Amino acid sequence: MKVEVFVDTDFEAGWTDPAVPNMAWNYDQTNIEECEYVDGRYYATYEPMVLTEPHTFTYLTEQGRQTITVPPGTYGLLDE
Amino acid sequence: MASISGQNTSNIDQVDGFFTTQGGSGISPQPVLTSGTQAAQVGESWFNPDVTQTFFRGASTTHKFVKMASIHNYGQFIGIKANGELWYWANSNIYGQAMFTTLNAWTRYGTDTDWEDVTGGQITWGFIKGGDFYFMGYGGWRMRGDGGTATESSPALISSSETWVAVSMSAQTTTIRNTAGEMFFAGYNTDYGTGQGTTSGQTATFTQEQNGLTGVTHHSAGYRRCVMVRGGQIYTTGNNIQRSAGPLIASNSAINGPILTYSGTDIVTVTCFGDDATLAITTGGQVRMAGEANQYSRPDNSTQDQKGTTGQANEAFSILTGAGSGWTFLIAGKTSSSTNWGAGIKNGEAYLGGTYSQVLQVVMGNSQSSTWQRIGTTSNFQCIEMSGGNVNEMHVAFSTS
Repeated sequence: MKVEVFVDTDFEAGWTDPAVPNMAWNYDQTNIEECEYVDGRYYATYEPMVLTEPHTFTYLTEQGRQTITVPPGTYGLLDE
Repeated sequence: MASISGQNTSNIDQVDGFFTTQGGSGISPQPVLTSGTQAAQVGESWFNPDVTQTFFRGASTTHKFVKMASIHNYGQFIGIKANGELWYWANSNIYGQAMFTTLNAWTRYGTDTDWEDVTGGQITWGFIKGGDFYFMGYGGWRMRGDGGTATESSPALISSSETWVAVSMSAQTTTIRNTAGEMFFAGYNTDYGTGQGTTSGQTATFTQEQNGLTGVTHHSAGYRRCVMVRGGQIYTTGNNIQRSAGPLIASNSAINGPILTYSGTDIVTVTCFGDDATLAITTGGQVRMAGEANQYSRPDNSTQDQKGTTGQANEAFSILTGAGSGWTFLIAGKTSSSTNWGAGIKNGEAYLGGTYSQVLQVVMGNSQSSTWQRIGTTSNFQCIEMSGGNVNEMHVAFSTS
Protein backbone atom coordinates (compact mmCIF):
# COMPACT_ATOMS: atom_id res chain seq x y z
CA MET A 1 0.00 0.00 0.00
CA LYS A 2 1.17 3.51 -0.76
CA VAL A 3 0.02 6.49 1.28
CA GLU A 4 0.90 10.14 1.51
CA VAL A 5 2.96 11.21 4.51
CA PHE A 6 4.04 14.59 5.76
CA VAL A 7 7.08 16.19 7.32
CA ASP A 8 5.48 15.86 10.76
CA THR A 9 4.50 12.21 10.33
CA ASP A 10 5.67 10.07 13.26
CA PHE A 11 7.29 7.08 11.63
CA GLU A 12 7.88 5.30 14.94
CA ALA A 13 4.32 5.42 16.23
CA GLY A 14 2.78 2.72 14.07
CA TRP A 15 -0.87 1.75 14.25
CA THR A 16 -3.08 -1.17 15.24
CA ASP A 17 -6.24 -2.86 14.04
CA PRO A 18 -8.86 -3.77 16.68
CA ALA A 19 -9.71 -6.95 14.77
CA VAL A 20 -6.17 -8.27 15.36
CA PRO A 21 -5.14 -6.81 18.73
CA ASN A 22 -1.87 -8.73 18.93
CA MET A 23 -0.48 -7.12 15.78
CA ALA A 24 0.80 -3.67 14.81
CA TRP A 25 2.00 -1.99 11.64
CA ASN A 26 4.54 0.60 10.62
CA TYR A 27 5.59 2.22 7.40
CA ASP A 28 8.34 0.45 5.49
CA GLN A 29 10.29 3.70 5.68
CA THR A 30 11.75 5.02 8.93
CA ASN A 31 11.81 8.73 8.04
CA ILE A 32 10.59 11.19 5.43
CA GLU A 33 13.88 11.13 3.54
CA GLU A 34 13.34 7.48 2.65
CA CYS A 35 9.94 8.18 1.13
CA GLU A 36 9.12 8.63 -2.53
CA TYR A 37 8.82 12.30 -3.47
CA VAL A 38 6.51 13.15 -6.36
CA ASP A 39 5.21 16.57 -7.33
CA GLY A 40 5.88 18.06 -3.93
CA ARG A 41 4.33 15.19 -1.98
CA TYR A 42 5.91 12.36 -0.01
CA TYR A 43 4.66 8.77 -0.18
CA ALA A 44 5.38 5.89 2.18
CA THR A 45 4.50 2.23 1.79
CA TYR A 46 3.35 -0.55 4.12
CA GLU A 47 2.13 -4.12 3.89
CA PRO A 48 -1.29 -4.91 5.37
CA MET A 49 -2.07 -8.46 6.48
CA VAL A 50 -4.16 -10.40 3.98
CA LEU A 51 -5.84 -13.55 5.24
CA THR A 52 -7.38 -15.84 2.64
CA GLU A 53 -8.67 -18.25 5.26
CA PRO A 54 -9.47 -17.99 8.97
CA HIS A 55 -6.36 -17.73 11.15
CA THR A 56 -6.13 -18.45 14.85
CA PHE A 57 -3.79 -16.49 17.10
CA THR A 58 -2.99 -17.34 20.72
CA TYR A 59 -1.48 -14.33 22.43
CA LEU A 60 -0.76 -13.19 25.95
CA THR A 61 -2.57 -10.55 27.95
CA GLU A 62 -2.20 -9.56 31.58
CA GLN A 63 -4.98 -12.03 32.32
CA GLY A 64 -3.30 -14.90 30.49
CA ARG A 65 -3.75 -16.54 27.11
CA GLN A 66 -6.29 -15.18 24.68
CA THR A 67 -7.22 -17.09 21.51
CA ILE A 68 -8.96 -15.43 18.59
CA THR A 69 -9.87 -16.63 15.13
CA VAL A 70 -9.68 -13.88 12.55
CA PRO A 71 -11.83 -14.33 9.43
CA PRO A 72 -10.48 -13.84 5.89
CA GLY A 73 -9.88 -10.23 5.03
CA THR A 74 -7.31 -7.46 4.89
CA TYR A 75 -6.08 -6.09 8.22
CA GLY A 76 -3.84 -3.27 9.30
CA LEU A 77 -5.19 -0.85 6.75
CA LEU A 78 -4.40 2.73 7.56
CA ASP A 79 -7.29 5.16 7.57
CA GLU A 80 -6.81 7.76 4.88
CA MET B 1 67.73 2.32 49.38
CA ALA B 2 65.38 4.73 47.65
CA SER B 3 61.69 3.98 47.66
CA ILE B 4 58.48 5.14 46.01
CA SER B 5 55.08 4.65 47.58
CA GLY B 6 56.64 2.38 50.15
CA GLN B 7 58.23 0.10 47.57
CA ASN B 8 61.97 -0.31 47.17
CA THR B 9 62.93 1.10 43.75
CA SER B 10 64.30 -2.32 42.84
CA ASN B 11 60.69 -3.47 43.15
CA ILE B 12 59.20 -0.57 41.22
CA ASP B 13 56.80 -2.71 39.18
CA GLN B 14 54.71 -3.12 42.32
CA VAL B 15 53.84 0.58 42.33
CA ASP B 16 50.75 1.57 40.38
CA GLY B 17 51.72 3.37 37.19
CA PHE B 18 55.28 2.01 37.01
CA PHE B 19 56.04 -0.78 34.55
CA THR B 20 59.77 -0.50 33.89
CA THR B 21 60.06 -4.02 32.53
CA GLN B 22 57.45 -3.57 29.82
CA GLY B 23 59.21 -1.51 27.19
CA GLY B 24 59.62 2.07 26.21
CA SER B 25 55.95 2.93 25.83
CA GLY B 26 55.40 2.22 29.52
CA ILE B 27 52.45 -0.11 29.06
CA SER B 28 51.87 -3.48 27.48
CA PRO B 29 48.79 -5.25 26.16
CA GLN B 30 46.81 -7.19 28.71
CA PRO B 31 47.63 -10.90 28.59
CA VAL B 32 45.02 -13.23 27.15
CA LEU B 33 42.99 -14.56 30.03
CA THR B 34 43.70 -17.84 31.74
CA SER B 35 40.94 -17.53 34.31
CA GLY B 36 37.93 -15.29 34.88
CA THR B 37 36.44 -13.02 32.25
CA GLN B 38 38.00 -10.83 29.55
CA ALA B 39 36.38 -8.53 26.99
CA ALA B 40 37.81 -7.16 23.76
CA GLN B 41 36.74 -5.13 20.76
CA VAL B 42 37.99 -4.41 17.26
CA GLY B 43 39.87 -1.23 16.49
CA GLU B 44 40.26 -0.57 12.80
CA SER B 45 39.95 3.13 13.43
CA TRP B 46 43.22 3.08 15.31
CA PHE B 47 45.55 5.91 14.42
CA ASN B 48 48.48 5.49 16.79
CA PRO B 49 51.20 3.36 15.14
CA ASP B 50 53.12 3.09 18.41
CA VAL B 51 50.66 0.58 19.81
CA THR B 52 49.05 -2.51 18.39
CA GLN B 53 45.46 -3.69 18.14
CA THR B 54 46.12 -6.03 21.03
CA PHE B 55 45.55 -2.99 23.23
CA PHE B 56 41.85 -3.43 22.52
CA ARG B 57 42.02 -6.46 24.79
CA GLY B 58 40.70 -5.62 28.23
CA ALA B 59 42.08 -6.73 31.53
CA SER B 60 40.98 -10.08 32.90
CA THR B 61 38.80 -10.04 35.97
CA THR B 62 38.10 -12.77 38.49
CA HIS B 63 34.37 -12.73 37.74
CA LYS B 64 33.03 -15.86 36.06
CA PHE B 65 29.78 -16.17 34.18
CA VAL B 66 27.69 -19.07 32.96
CA LYS B 67 25.78 -16.90 30.49
CA MET B 68 26.65 -13.60 28.83
CA ALA B 69 24.90 -11.31 26.35
CA SER B 70 25.62 -8.06 24.56
CA ILE B 71 23.93 -5.81 22.02
CA HIS B 72 25.11 -5.08 18.51
CA ASN B 73 25.73 -1.39 18.67
CA TYR B 74 27.45 -0.62 21.97
CA GLY B 75 30.18 -1.89 24.23
CA GLN B 76 27.94 -3.43 26.84
CA PHE B 77 27.91 -6.92 28.35
CA ILE B 78 25.55 -8.47 30.87
CA GLY B 79 26.47 -11.71 32.61
CA ILE B 80 24.75 -14.19 34.89
CA LYS B 81 26.82 -15.98 37.50
CA ALA B 82 26.25 -19.58 38.59
CA ASN B 83 24.56 -18.29 41.74
CA GLY B 84 21.96 -16.32 39.77
CA GLU B 85 23.48 -12.88 40.25
CA LEU B 86 23.30 -10.36 37.39
CA TRP B 87 26.40 -8.31 36.50
CA TYR B 88 27.23 -5.84 33.75
CA TRP B 89 30.16 -4.12 32.09
CA ALA B 90 29.48 -1.10 29.91
CA ASN B 91 31.51 1.68 28.37
CA SER B 92 28.32 3.57 27.54
CA ASN B 93 25.00 3.68 29.33
CA ILE B 94 22.83 4.24 26.26
CA TYR B 95 19.63 2.16 26.30
CA GLY B 96 20.37 1.24 29.91
CA GLN B 97 20.86 4.50 31.79
CA ALA B 98 19.16 3.31 34.97
CA MET B 99 21.02 0.00 34.98
CA PHE B 100 24.50 0.95 33.80
CA THR B 101 25.21 3.43 36.55
CA THR B 102 28.87 2.46 36.77
CA LEU B 103 30.96 2.41 33.62
CA ASN B 104 34.05 0.39 32.65
CA ALA B 105 33.94 -2.06 35.55
CA TRP B 106 32.03 -5.27 36.14
CA THR B 107 29.28 -4.22 38.51
CA ARG B 108 26.50 -6.19 40.13
CA TYR B 109 22.93 -5.14 39.33
CA GLY B 110 20.62 -5.28 42.33
CA THR B 111 20.61 -8.03 44.92
CA ASP B 112 18.41 -10.70 43.34
CA THR B 113 19.79 -14.19 42.77
CA ASP B 114 17.16 -15.64 40.47
CA TRP B 115 18.36 -14.36 37.09
CA GLU B 116 18.14 -17.25 34.65
CA ASP B 117 18.72 -16.00 31.11
CA VAL B 118 19.80 -12.88 29.22
CA THR B 119 19.90 -12.00 25.52
CA GLY B 120 20.78 -8.96 23.46
CA GLY B 121 19.44 -7.68 20.16
CA GLN B 122 20.57 -4.63 18.25
CA ILE B 123 19.55 -2.08 20.88
CA THR B 124 17.33 -4.27 23.05
CA TRP B 125 17.82 -6.63 25.99
CA GLY B 126 15.74 -9.51 27.28
CA PHE B 127 15.96 -11.25 30.66
CA ILE B 128 14.33 -14.13 32.48
CA LYS B 129 14.23 -13.79 36.23
CA GLY B 130 12.28 -16.17 38.43
CA GLY B 131 10.39 -17.40 35.37
CA ASP B 132 9.26 -13.91 34.36
CA PHE B 133 10.32 -11.94 31.28
CA TYR B 134 11.93 -8.53 31.59
CA PHE B 135 12.80 -6.10 28.80
CA MET B 136 15.26 -3.22 28.50
CA GLY B 137 16.18 -0.94 25.62
CA TYR B 138 14.43 0.47 22.58
CA GLY B 139 10.73 -0.37 22.51
CA GLY B 140 9.75 0.97 19.11
CA TRP B 141 10.14 -2.33 17.29
CA ARG B 142 7.44 -4.06 19.37
CA MET B 143 9.99 -6.49 20.80
CA ARG B 144 8.76 -5.85 24.35
CA GLY B 145 5.97 -8.36 23.81
CA ASP B 146 3.30 -6.44 25.72
CA GLY B 147 2.04 -4.28 22.87
CA GLY B 148 3.86 -1.20 24.15
CA THR B 149 6.56 0.84 22.48
CA ALA B 150 8.19 2.49 25.49
CA THR B 151 11.94 2.39 25.82
CA GLU B 152 13.15 1.01 29.16
CA SER B 153 16.40 2.09 30.82
CA SER B 154 16.47 -0.81 33.30
CA PRO B 155 14.97 -4.31 33.23
CA ALA B 156 11.16 -3.86 33.25
CA LEU B 157 8.76 -6.69 34.05
CA ILE B 158 6.77 -7.53 30.93
CA SER B 159 5.32 -11.02 31.23
CA SER B 160 4.64 -13.23 34.22
CA SER B 161 1.62 -15.15 32.94
CA GLU B 162 3.83 -18.05 31.77
CA THR B 163 6.88 -19.62 33.37
CA TRP B 164 9.62 -18.71 30.92
CA VAL B 165 12.89 -20.62 30.64
CA ALA B 166 14.80 -19.15 27.68
CA VAL B 167 14.78 -16.02 25.53
CA SER B 168 16.69 -15.20 22.35
CA MET B 169 16.62 -11.92 20.45
CA SER B 170 17.62 -11.12 16.90
CA ALA B 171 17.88 -7.56 15.67
CA GLN B 172 14.10 -7.14 15.49
CA THR B 173 12.45 -10.17 17.08
CA THR B 174 12.08 -11.59 20.57
CA THR B 175 11.64 -15.37 20.77
CA ILE B 176 10.76 -16.89 24.14
CA ARG B 177 10.10 -20.39 25.41
CA ASN B 178 8.12 -21.63 28.40
CA THR B 179 8.49 -24.72 30.60
CA ALA B 180 6.25 -26.73 28.27
CA GLY B 181 8.57 -25.97 25.38
CA GLU B 182 6.03 -23.72 23.69
CA MET B 183 7.34 -20.81 21.61
CA PHE B 184 6.05 -17.25 21.64
CA PHE B 185 7.23 -14.37 19.47
CA ALA B 186 7.21 -10.57 19.27
CA GLY B 187 8.65 -8.13 16.75
CA TYR B 188 8.79 -7.88 12.97
CA ASN B 189 6.97 -10.57 10.98
CA THR B 190 9.31 -10.16 8.00
CA ASP B 191 9.97 -13.45 6.13
CA TYR B 192 7.61 -15.30 8.53
CA GLY B 193 10.32 -14.87 11.16
CA THR B 194 7.81 -14.84 14.02
CA GLY B 195 5.93 -17.95 12.94
CA GLN B 196 2.56 -16.20 12.65
CA GLY B 197 1.76 -17.12 9.05
CA THR B 198 2.22 -13.56 7.87
CA THR B 199 5.04 -11.30 6.72
CA SER B 200 3.00 -8.18 7.39
CA GLY B 201 3.60 -5.79 10.26
CA GLN B 202 4.79 -6.76 13.72
CA THR B 203 3.62 -9.12 16.42
CA ALA B 204 3.00 -6.62 19.19
CA THR B 205 2.10 -8.92 22.08
CA PHE B 206 3.72 -12.28 22.66
CA THR B 207 1.90 -14.69 20.36
CA GLN B 208 2.40 -18.42 20.12
CA GLU B 209 3.72 -19.61 16.77
CA GLN B 210 0.99 -20.85 14.49
CA ASN B 211 1.66 -24.58 14.74
CA GLY B 212 1.56 -24.84 18.54
CA LEU B 213 4.72 -26.87 19.03
CA THR B 214 5.40 -28.29 22.46
CA GLY B 215 8.56 -29.86 23.80
CA VAL B 216 11.04 -27.43 22.26
CA THR B 217 14.26 -27.79 24.25
CA HIS B 218 16.47 -25.14 22.65
CA HIS B 219 16.02 -22.27 20.22
CA SER B 220 17.95 -19.47 18.56
CA ALA B 221 16.72 -16.29 16.94
CA GLY B 222 18.55 -15.27 13.79
CA TYR B 223 18.19 -12.78 11.01
CA ARG B 224 14.44 -12.86 10.24
CA ARG B 225 14.20 -16.46 11.44
CA CYS B 226 14.06 -18.75 14.41
CA VAL B 227 15.48 -22.25 14.68
CA MET B 228 14.12 -24.64 17.30
CA VAL B 229 15.21 -28.06 18.62
CA ARG B 230 12.47 -30.56 19.43
CA GLY B 231 13.14 -34.24 19.99
CA GLY B 232 16.64 -33.72 18.64
CA GLN B 233 15.14 -32.51 15.37
CA ILE B 234 15.19 -29.00 13.94
CA TYR B 235 12.16 -26.86 13.21
CA THR B 236 12.52 -23.57 11.37
CA THR B 237 10.45 -20.53 10.54
CA GLY B 238 11.57 -17.55 8.47
CA ASN B 239 14.44 -16.63 6.21
CA ASN B 240 16.03 -19.45 4.22
CA ILE B 241 17.83 -17.49 1.54
CA GLN B 242 20.99 -19.60 1.90
CA ARG B 243 19.11 -22.84 2.54
CA SER B 244 20.26 -22.91 6.12
CA ALA B 245 17.06 -24.58 7.36
CA GLY B 246 18.00 -28.13 6.55
CA PRO B 247 17.80 -31.00 4.06
CA LEU B 248 14.01 -31.31 4.10
CA ILE B 249 13.54 -27.96 2.37
CA ALA B 250 14.53 -27.70 -1.30
CA SER B 251 13.55 -24.06 -1.85
CA ASN B 252 15.33 -20.96 -0.62
CA SER B 253 12.04 -19.13 -0.11
CA ALA B 254 11.14 -17.89 3.35
CA ILE B 255 9.56 -20.69 5.40
CA ASN B 256 6.01 -20.18 6.62
CA GLY B 257 6.66 -22.27 9.72
CA PRO B 258 7.75 -23.46 12.09
CA ILE B 259 8.06 -26.77 10.29
CA LEU B 260 10.40 -29.74 10.49
CA THR B 261 13.52 -29.02 8.45
CA TYR B 262 15.97 -31.64 9.79
CA SER B 263 14.67 -35.03 10.89
CA GLY B 264 17.73 -36.46 12.59
CA THR B 265 17.30 -36.84 16.31
CA ASP B 266 20.75 -35.94 17.59
CA ILE B 267 20.65 -32.16 17.93
CA VAL B 268 21.13 -30.53 21.32
CA THR B 269 21.64 -26.83 20.54
CA VAL B 270 21.50 -24.58 17.49
CA THR B 271 22.72 -21.12 16.57
CA CYS B 272 22.16 -18.90 13.55
CA PHE B 273 25.23 -17.77 11.65
CA GLY B 274 23.38 -14.72 10.40
CA ASP B 275 21.33 -15.50 7.31
CA ASP B 276 24.15 -17.62 5.90
CA ALA B 277 24.15 -20.81 7.91
CA THR B 278 22.90 -22.75 10.90
CA LEU B 279 25.29 -24.50 13.27
CA ALA B 280 24.19 -27.28 15.60
CA ILE B 281 25.87 -29.34 18.31
CA THR B 282 24.99 -33.03 18.41
CA THR B 283 24.60 -35.37 21.34
CA GLY B 284 28.08 -36.62 20.51
CA GLY B 285 29.59 -33.15 20.70
CA GLN B 286 30.05 -32.84 16.95
CA VAL B 287 28.98 -29.94 14.74
CA ARG B 288 26.36 -30.09 11.99
CA MET B 289 26.07 -27.21 9.56
CA ALA B 290 23.56 -26.14 6.91
CA GLY B 291 23.87 -23.29 4.42
CA GLU B 292 26.51 -21.03 2.95
CA ALA B 293 30.18 -21.35 3.89
CA ASN B 294 31.94 -18.49 2.13
CA GLN B 295 31.95 -16.37 5.28
CA TYR B 296 33.64 -19.17 7.18
CA SER B 297 30.62 -20.42 9.02
CA ARG B 298 32.25 -23.85 9.29
CA PRO B 299 34.45 -24.47 12.34
CA ASP B 300 36.41 -26.98 10.26
CA ASN B 301 37.41 -24.04 8.01
CA SER B 302 36.13 -25.65 4.82
CA THR B 303 34.37 -23.29 2.41
CA GLN B 304 32.13 -26.03 1.00
CA ASP B 305 28.44 -25.11 1.18
CA GLN B 306 25.97 -27.60 2.62
CA LYS B 307 22.68 -26.66 0.98
CA GLY B 308 21.55 -30.00 -0.41
CA THR B 309 18.50 -32.07 0.33
CA THR B 310 18.54 -35.54 1.88
CA GLY B 311 20.91 -37.87 0.06
CA GLN B 312 22.74 -35.23 -1.93
CA ALA B 313 26.52 -35.00 -1.60
CA ASN B 314 26.22 -31.54 -0.06
CA GLU B 315 23.35 -32.50 2.24
CA ALA B 316 22.51 -29.79 4.71
CA PHE B 317 23.34 -30.55 8.34
CA SER B 318 25.96 -33.15 7.46
CA ILE B 319 28.44 -33.54 10.31
CA LEU B 320 31.63 -31.51 10.00
CA THR B 321 33.98 -34.35 10.81
CA GLY B 322 37.00 -32.09 10.45
CA ALA B 323 35.76 -29.94 13.31
CA GLY B 324 36.22 -32.83 15.72
CA SER B 325 34.13 -33.47 18.81
CA GLY B 326 33.88 -32.09 22.30
CA TRP B 327 31.87 -29.01 21.32
CA THR B 328 29.80 -27.70 24.20
CA PHE B 329 29.03 -24.15 23.11
CA LEU B 330 28.43 -22.32 19.82
CA ILE B 331 27.16 -18.84 19.16
CA ALA B 332 26.98 -16.94 15.90
CA GLY B 333 25.32 -13.89 14.48
CA LYS B 334 25.02 -11.19 11.93
CA THR B 335 26.11 -7.61 12.22
CA SER B 336 24.05 -4.69 11.04
CA SER B 337 26.42 -4.61 8.06
CA SER B 338 25.33 -8.02 6.79
CA THR B 339 28.49 -9.84 7.70
CA ASN B 340 28.60 -12.80 9.99
CA TRP B 341 30.68 -14.23 12.80
CA GLY B 342 30.86 -17.20 15.12
CA ALA B 343 32.48 -18.47 18.30
CA GLY B 344 32.57 -21.73 20.16
CA ILE B 345 34.07 -23.91 22.85
CA LYS B 346 35.48 -27.36 22.14
CA ASN B 347 36.91 -29.43 24.97
CA GLY B 348 37.17 -26.22 26.96
CA GLU B 349 39.13 -24.42 24.23
CA ALA B 350 37.72 -21.17 22.84
CA TYR B 351 37.54 -20.49 19.11
CA LEU B 352 36.53 -17.51 16.98
CA GLY B 353 35.65 -17.65 13.29
CA GLY B 354 33.75 -16.00 10.47
CA THR B 355 34.29 -12.91 8.37
CA TYR B 356 33.78 -10.32 11.05
CA SER B 357 35.94 -12.09 13.59
CA GLN B 358 39.09 -11.42 11.57
CA VAL B 359 40.20 -8.27 13.35
CA LEU B 360 39.11 -9.62 16.71
CA GLN B 361 41.51 -12.46 16.02
CA VAL B 362 44.32 -9.91 15.94
CA VAL B 363 43.07 -8.27 19.10
CA MET B 364 43.18 -11.66 20.80
CA GLY B 365 46.71 -12.35 19.63
CA ASN B 366 46.12 -14.39 16.45
CA SER B 367 46.77 -13.68 12.77
CA GLN B 368 44.15 -11.69 10.87
CA SER B 369 41.94 -14.27 9.22
CA SER B 370 38.33 -15.28 8.85
CA THR B 371 39.18 -18.86 9.68
CA TRP B 372 38.34 -20.36 13.05
CA GLN B 373 41.31 -20.03 15.37
CA ARG B 374 41.88 -20.98 18.97
CA ILE B 375 42.00 -18.19 21.51
CA GLY B 376 44.71 -18.32 24.14
CA THR B 377 45.96 -21.53 25.68
CA THR B 378 43.42 -22.17 28.39
CA SER B 379 41.14 -25.23 28.24
CA ASN B 380 38.56 -24.23 30.80
CA PHE B 381 36.35 -21.79 28.91
CA GLN B 382 32.68 -21.89 29.84
CA CYS B 383 30.92 -19.28 27.70
CA ILE B 384 31.59 -16.62 25.08
CA GLU B 385 29.55 -13.63 23.99
CA MET B 386 30.12 -11.81 20.71
CA SER B 387 28.21 -9.16 18.83
CA GLY B 388 28.66 -6.09 16.71
CA GLY B 389 27.07 -3.39 14.65
CA ASN B 390 29.78 -2.99 12.05
CA VAL B 391 33.45 -3.71 11.58
CA ASN B 392 34.42 -1.05 14.10
CA GLU B 393 32.00 -2.20 16.74
CA MET B 394 32.65 -5.92 17.06
CA HIS B 395 33.11 -6.97 20.64
CA VAL B 396 33.62 -10.26 22.41
CA ALA B 397 33.91 -11.54 25.97
CA PHE B 398 35.22 -14.85 27.24
CA SER B 399 34.58 -16.47 30.60
CA THR B 400 36.16 -19.53 32.16
CA SER B 401 34.77 -22.08 34.57
